[in-house]
Amino acid sequence: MSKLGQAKRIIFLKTADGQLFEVDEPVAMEFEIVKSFFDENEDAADDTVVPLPNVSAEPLAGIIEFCKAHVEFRANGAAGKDEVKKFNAEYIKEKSNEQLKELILAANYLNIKEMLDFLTETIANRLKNKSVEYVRAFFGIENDFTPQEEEAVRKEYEWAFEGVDED
Amino acid sequence: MEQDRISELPDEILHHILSFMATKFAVQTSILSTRWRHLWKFISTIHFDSFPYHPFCSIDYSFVDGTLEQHKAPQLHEFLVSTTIRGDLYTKSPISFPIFDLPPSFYAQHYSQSLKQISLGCAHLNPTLSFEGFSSLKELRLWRCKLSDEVVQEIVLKCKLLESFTIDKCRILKYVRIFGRSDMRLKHFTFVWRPQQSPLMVEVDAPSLVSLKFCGHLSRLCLGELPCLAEAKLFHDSSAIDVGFVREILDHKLAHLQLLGVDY
Repeated sequence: MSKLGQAKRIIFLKTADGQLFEVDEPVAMEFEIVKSFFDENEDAADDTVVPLPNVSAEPLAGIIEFCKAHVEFRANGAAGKDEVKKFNAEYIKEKSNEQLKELILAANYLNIKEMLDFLTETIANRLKNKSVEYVRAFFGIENDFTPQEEEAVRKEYEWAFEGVDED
Repeated sequence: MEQDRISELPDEILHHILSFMATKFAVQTSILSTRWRHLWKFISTIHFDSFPYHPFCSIDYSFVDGTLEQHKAPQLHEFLVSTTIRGDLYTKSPISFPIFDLPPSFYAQHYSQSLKQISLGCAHLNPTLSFEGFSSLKELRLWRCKLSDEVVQEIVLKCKLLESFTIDKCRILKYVRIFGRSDMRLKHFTFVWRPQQSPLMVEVDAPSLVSLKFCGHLSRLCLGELPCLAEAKLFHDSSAIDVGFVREILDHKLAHLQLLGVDY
């Protein structure tokens, strides 16, 4: 672990598609999985490469961008302020549903709670008032109900389907 | 490929996503597939928003009971039920609002220990005898609810982390006492009078109170020592105001205020 006065430590991460990332220690330690890797291997050499077999380069770059900004916000005492909301809104604006899902899978694997909260809320907002078919397509869900079973579920929660337009 | 990967999302993540949705929508997802059939039951927030109120027919609230009955998550952090009222109906008073009874399971231990925020409209609060308080509750908002003075007292005494409490046009209250332990955390208290209500006393004596909002007969407001109070907004709801009384509060009780609004 780096101590005061030492040069800033860099953590090396290797993605599933073989790309090597150099990440500042405080940012990499946002990833619970990286943190516990070093907690468990206390004597790991400084140039140890942490393998991330479930994450590819594109989502990892996005995650690093997000965590870097949030580490800075916290250091500047800006956490919870409008600045953060503005950054989050900008960050997510250009992301497609596909990218969002990739980010969620990666953030879940890396175990980054704050980002996961933000991403899941974003997904919930994007699905708001969408049709059953849209949600099925979004998650890649195959409807394995028989028509009778589906009707039974619809009947059980009749109140929830009131005023909902059929697709 | 993409689709296979997303369906690998663990149930916990899907619970998380569903918890950010209105509960009505979360329940609708039970129709997506057999895997999704029961996922909604593990949401950590229950949020029934904006059920339209019709003046001449009562609302069937059985879905609230049903939802609580089927809910399986070990914890519930937020519980919100609200009713929307059309503006033109709102002004025509008195309107009798249909009230729904919260089921006994609402006061059960796994909820009372995990709920952090409760917001209720048109509910009847009647805790069971074994109710031990919502031990994590920070914010409680009651709007047009039915509850007794004793229940208010019980909430104030038993919900030890409560920071924000709103009682808005609630019925059958006679003497509201917001006072109790010296370690009370209550910082924000709002009380709104129910216009058609018979005279009622409101006594506030909370050592940590920072902001107070009161709408009603000012002469019915009784304030204790409030050393932390920085902001008070007082609205008098009748033309017959006792100016001497207001002056007395200003001079003695609220002399250290940073912000005071009085409207009558």
